[in-house]
Amino acid sequence: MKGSFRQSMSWLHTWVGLIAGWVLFFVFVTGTASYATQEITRWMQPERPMQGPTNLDIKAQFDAAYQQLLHDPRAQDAQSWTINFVSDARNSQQLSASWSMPAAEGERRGRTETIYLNHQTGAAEPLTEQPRETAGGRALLRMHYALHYIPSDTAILIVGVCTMLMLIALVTGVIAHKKILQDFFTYRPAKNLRSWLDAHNVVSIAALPFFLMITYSGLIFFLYTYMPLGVPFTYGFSEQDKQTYYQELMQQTGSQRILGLGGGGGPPRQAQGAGERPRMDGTTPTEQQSQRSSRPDQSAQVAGSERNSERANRSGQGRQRSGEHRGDGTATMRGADGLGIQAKRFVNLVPLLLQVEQQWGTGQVRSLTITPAVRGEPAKIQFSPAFSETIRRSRGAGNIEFNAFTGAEIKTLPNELAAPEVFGSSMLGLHEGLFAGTAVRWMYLISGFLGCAMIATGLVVWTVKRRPKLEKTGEYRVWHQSVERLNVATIAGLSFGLACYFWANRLIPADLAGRQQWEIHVMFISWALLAAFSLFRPVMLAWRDSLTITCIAFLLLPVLNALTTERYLLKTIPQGDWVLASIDLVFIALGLMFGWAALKVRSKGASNQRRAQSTQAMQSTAGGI
Amino acid sequence: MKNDDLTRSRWMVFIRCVLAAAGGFLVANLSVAMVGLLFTDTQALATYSAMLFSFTVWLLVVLLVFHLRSVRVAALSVCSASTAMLLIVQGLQIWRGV
Repeated sequence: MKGSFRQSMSWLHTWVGLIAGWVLFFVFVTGTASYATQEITRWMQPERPMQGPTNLDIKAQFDAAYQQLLHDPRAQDAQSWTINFVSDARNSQQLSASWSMPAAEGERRGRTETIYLNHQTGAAEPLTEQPRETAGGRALLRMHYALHYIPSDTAILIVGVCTMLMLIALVTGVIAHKKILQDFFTYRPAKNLRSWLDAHNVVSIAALPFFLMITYSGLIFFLYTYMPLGVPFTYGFSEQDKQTYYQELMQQTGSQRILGLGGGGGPPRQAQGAGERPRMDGTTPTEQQSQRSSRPDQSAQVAGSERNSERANRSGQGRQRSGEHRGDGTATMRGADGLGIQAKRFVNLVPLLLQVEQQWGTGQVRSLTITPAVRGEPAKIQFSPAFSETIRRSRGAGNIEFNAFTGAEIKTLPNELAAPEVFGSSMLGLHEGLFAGTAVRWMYLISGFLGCAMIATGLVVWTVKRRPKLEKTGEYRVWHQSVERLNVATIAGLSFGLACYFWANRLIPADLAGRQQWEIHVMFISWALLAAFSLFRPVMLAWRDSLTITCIAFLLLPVLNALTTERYLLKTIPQGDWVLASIDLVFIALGLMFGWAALKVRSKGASNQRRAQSTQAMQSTAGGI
Repeated sequence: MKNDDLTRSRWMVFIRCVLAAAGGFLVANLSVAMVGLLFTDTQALATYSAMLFSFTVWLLVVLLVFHLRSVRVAALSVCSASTAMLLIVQGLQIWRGV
């Protein structure tokens, strides 16, 4: 390339950013929303009860929930019982008791039912309405790596290519900046291109480590899809060679699963044992159930608390109906005792609970799960902490387990993990942020927003930089105009589509069949409509109008929420349900941000017009003279 | 810029893109095999580790291709690197009896 190393890197940064920018903006917007997956789903199911503080101690909470499970006839043959306490954990401000039934013939997993309990009395709170079906936060989570309306294998490849381009753009962007630290503290307003560049620099450098981490770890998620020849070159091209590699890898890493399996990687069925078939993202069905990334929420008979069903399903995975209890605390497969019958022979579980609470601290026990005796295994009670022990992607880390018949602690020695396994799973853990508490989760969200801003300002810089020169030389043609309009269509259009996604949740009838799919359709239809609108408007007007419409759409969402549900700000804030309140508050903040942007565009357009008029007047005066 | 120059410049950019994408991909995958075949005792672990870092190798190839002044030099660099790596991998495979 011409010029210095830095110049060639700057050129590469510019073009790579443009090519991948639109897809990456979509990935970043939906990915950022994914950090609030559970919270968004809760907002989208307003029938679920509000959360808030409790005056019951953990023993009282346990007694209330456990009695429900012991006496509810529907729970007697369950393959697991789960009690969620009001705790410091994310989305854990609701006391509930749930049970998971064995999977019926032809079903992937059994049904999970949940009873919510009153925080003051511990009594069951009957739901007046069933929670509506919704695509929820899960749809956004899935879209950020598998897009939509495209076969997932293809979409994952497209996202992978764009992620690789993003990695290139990030590194070349750093190289291209001579004074990266100085740039971080520099913003010169009202200087047109200079201002846009400064804004791009500030938001890019502010969260640069996050961007590097999120991009690199995004590639690792589908390691075997994006680097499909590495293993075949080493082990051979046959399926058997691949299985040999997977088996050796699990032995050498000390892990029970393969990280980074993608669509092209092929599932190591034999390597991971029958019935544990890894999926597109390299997880086993057990983990898939906890993620449920590909399926929109489908409400259970009682409110389908995602987290409850996740844990309950996970705990009960692979277990048969309960077995016969023997004196040694194990059971045979022939017996037919349900969990309800076995529970009568359990030791008093309260001392175990208090022991765990003493060990972890008050408010640090998130949940407990009870599973029946089966296949020579004793019935177990497993406690999960509210805090995360590790940033690694390792579910179940830190849990404490007891034999429910004897009360003896079941200790399992943790596997010695190899360093690359720790590195890989830590990267994935950092990407997902499941370990993050409230404050760190907000940091993730803010960093995600900065990522969206970085891409948006980068795309705008590309056009702002070229337009004046091209207009002067008369080369401002269709190609550049298309880029400008695509920027409007993507940045404002997608944001508007997202707002409409939430509008659809409130306006589509709750009992409409397939309504969760319609929520997604509405998002894309409204995006397409705004994109089409912007194509036929002068660019500045398209920006102004699209941003204004988006601003109104977001600002009116809390109003719509108040008109259609009982979960609006004036109720959620006094109740102390900050999860629901924060979603509405974020809508307002987004609306204000788009409104501010629309005003800026409007004032910029007005000043451009004044300048053009004065230039015209000067020219006509000069012509007269 | 004259039309001929512009067309030529566009072709050069296109060739660099192909080199960066295809050449980088090949070199990255071959680097995985090289590392994997070098460590026979912990072959799977070495392969996995090399895969984790193969994106960095690909990134370096891309930077190199777009940094070199001459497309011919860039093409020669990528082709010779991938050929050399391919030969090493073949040699290691024969030596290890894969």
